[in-house]
Amino acid sequence: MSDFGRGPTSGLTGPPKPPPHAAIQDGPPPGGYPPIDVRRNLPKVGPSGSTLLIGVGLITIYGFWGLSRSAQRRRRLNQEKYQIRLAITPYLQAEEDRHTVKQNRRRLRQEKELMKDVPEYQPGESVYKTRKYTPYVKPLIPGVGPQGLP
Amino acid sequence: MKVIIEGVSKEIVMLIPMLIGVAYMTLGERKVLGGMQRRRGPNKVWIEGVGQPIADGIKLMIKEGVKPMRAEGVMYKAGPVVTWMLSMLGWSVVPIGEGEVIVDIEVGIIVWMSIGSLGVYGVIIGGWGSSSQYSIMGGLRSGAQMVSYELGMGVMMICIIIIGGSGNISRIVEVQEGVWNISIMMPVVVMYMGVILAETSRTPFDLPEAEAELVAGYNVEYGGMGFGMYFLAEYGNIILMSVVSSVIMMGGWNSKYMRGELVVGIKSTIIVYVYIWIRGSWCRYRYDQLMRIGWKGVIVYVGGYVIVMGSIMWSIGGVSI
Amino acid sequence: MLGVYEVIGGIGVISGIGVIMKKKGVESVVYMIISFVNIAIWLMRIGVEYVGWIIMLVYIGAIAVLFMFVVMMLEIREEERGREYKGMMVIVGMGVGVVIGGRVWMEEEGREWIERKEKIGNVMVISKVMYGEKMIGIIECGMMLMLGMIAVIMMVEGGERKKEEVREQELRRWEEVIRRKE
Repeated sequence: MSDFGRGPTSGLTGPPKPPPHAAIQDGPPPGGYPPIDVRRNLPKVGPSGSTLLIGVGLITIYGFWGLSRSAQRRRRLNQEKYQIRLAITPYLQAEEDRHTVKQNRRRLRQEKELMKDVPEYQPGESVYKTRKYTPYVKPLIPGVGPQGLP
Repeated sequence: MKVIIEGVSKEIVMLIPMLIGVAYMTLGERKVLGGMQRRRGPNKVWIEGVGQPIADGIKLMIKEGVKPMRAEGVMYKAGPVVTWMLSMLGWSVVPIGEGEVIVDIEVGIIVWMSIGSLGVYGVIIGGWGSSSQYSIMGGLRSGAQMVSYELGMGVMMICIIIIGGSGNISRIVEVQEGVWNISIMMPVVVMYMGVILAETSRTPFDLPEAEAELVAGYNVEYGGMGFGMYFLAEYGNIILMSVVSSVIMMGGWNSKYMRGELVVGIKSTIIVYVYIWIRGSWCRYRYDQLMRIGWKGVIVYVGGYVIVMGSIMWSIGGVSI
Repeated sequence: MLGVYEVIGGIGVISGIGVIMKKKGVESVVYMIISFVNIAIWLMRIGVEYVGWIIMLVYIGAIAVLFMFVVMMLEIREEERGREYKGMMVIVGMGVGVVIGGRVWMEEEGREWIERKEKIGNVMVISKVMYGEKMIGIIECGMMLMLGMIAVIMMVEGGERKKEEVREQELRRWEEVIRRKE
């Protein structure tokens, strides 16, 4: 800042003299005010962040551990079930085959009886003009069958 | 014929207690909010205001529904009906006890989610059909919010389906007999709470009903039973969401000491209480904050958790029923 | 007596006609949603529940909502749309009808894949039928979709839209412009 343009005698040249009677005025305490605390003073509610993180981690680990344990248990039960089923499969399959053959014969007989007036009708012929083989029976054990698909 | 009678009677048995529950949830909400603000809530009708919901219902029913002159006839009438119907339809796949479900199908969670996503239509059709600026803005806001948060919900449901190994809700409960799903989902459980709040458009995500900007959202022009249907659908959705959350997250009806239905009821009541609690203590987000939370927060973090959880589940070997 | 399939499919087709006949955009979208819902119910009814519900979730719950948003925002004028394309529309419709009808007429295997669903599962049969046996049909549908997209782009970009030429406008009233710029 330059003083260009300002008169040489304008303004104060020294500190103003105090008035003759000493007035008591409010002012800062000697040494000035203490620095103002501008930090936000929020109340601390709940556990800290690291506690929450560790707690959530522990609960998650417990969850996966329990889930894996129950999955193993269920797998053992399923294994037992499949083994029982496999042991009696030949008997069930034999019964099923016998039943299928019997029912097929019965169906053919009934169809022949029903359509005896139609000369060009072939009993037992599929209504679909397809060459794909699809078995009559469903697999006894899911996952083990002609398709090999669950 | 027998099938139809059976289905209808099942629906009735399921829905009438639900409607009574909706009625008394409004009373409970007003009582709890009153308690949080140190007042008594409604206490004039009968003993401590027990008759208040019935009186409100009768008032809504006998009130005349005034159709605005510029409203589109069919759309204006279809809005509340569609919303209410879809809100009731969601109960068809949700079990409340062992085997106590109307239809038990393999894709139960997907069915429930898609019925919930159709609920957007009632809101935006009603908002558009009213031919009012406030209601169309409310309808668009509500629709955008529901569509955005459905994606987060879908990612959550991917987590649930991976844990359960099936989309069938009964099987998901069966898997939880050891530990509840909430302990596996613990890193994202706060986001889950936020998503179900936003899906039902409750505080802090009740932007569609921002009274200061839009008078009352998409249902400004509705009075009488039209408003009543929107109201029933909203609270019915809250109860449905609570029941589904208690079933898929909090263990369902697995208990050794109590009947399963009672357990599900207690858990759902706790979640409904949390809804009201949040309404009593939190304020509303801005709309851009809502969208940012939905698209940049929930979907991203939960998607990351799907990868983490999926790899851990793969190393466990999956759950097999 | 009509069966369930005829009723549901009939509603789907009628509402599909409603999509292109209605004059208001929002009503068209509502008809489209009804058509989608009927298609989804039809799929559920023949036993492919998963695809039906996915259509319900994705197409109706998400994509059609966005359509409806856009249509509500646009405020399309209520005049007859596509008047100048009427002759072309008839020709394209006949072509599509011939292609699809011929394909159905030449088809050897009827509903056999619905039977096979029971054997090898839902998703597997869909993948085999869609990307294996009926691949040509899928490609035809893709062609039609691309035709529709090109048509939309043509309608938006191609026509004799009035363009705002800033320089021409300024030349038309050059005195005022010069006065303002000083």
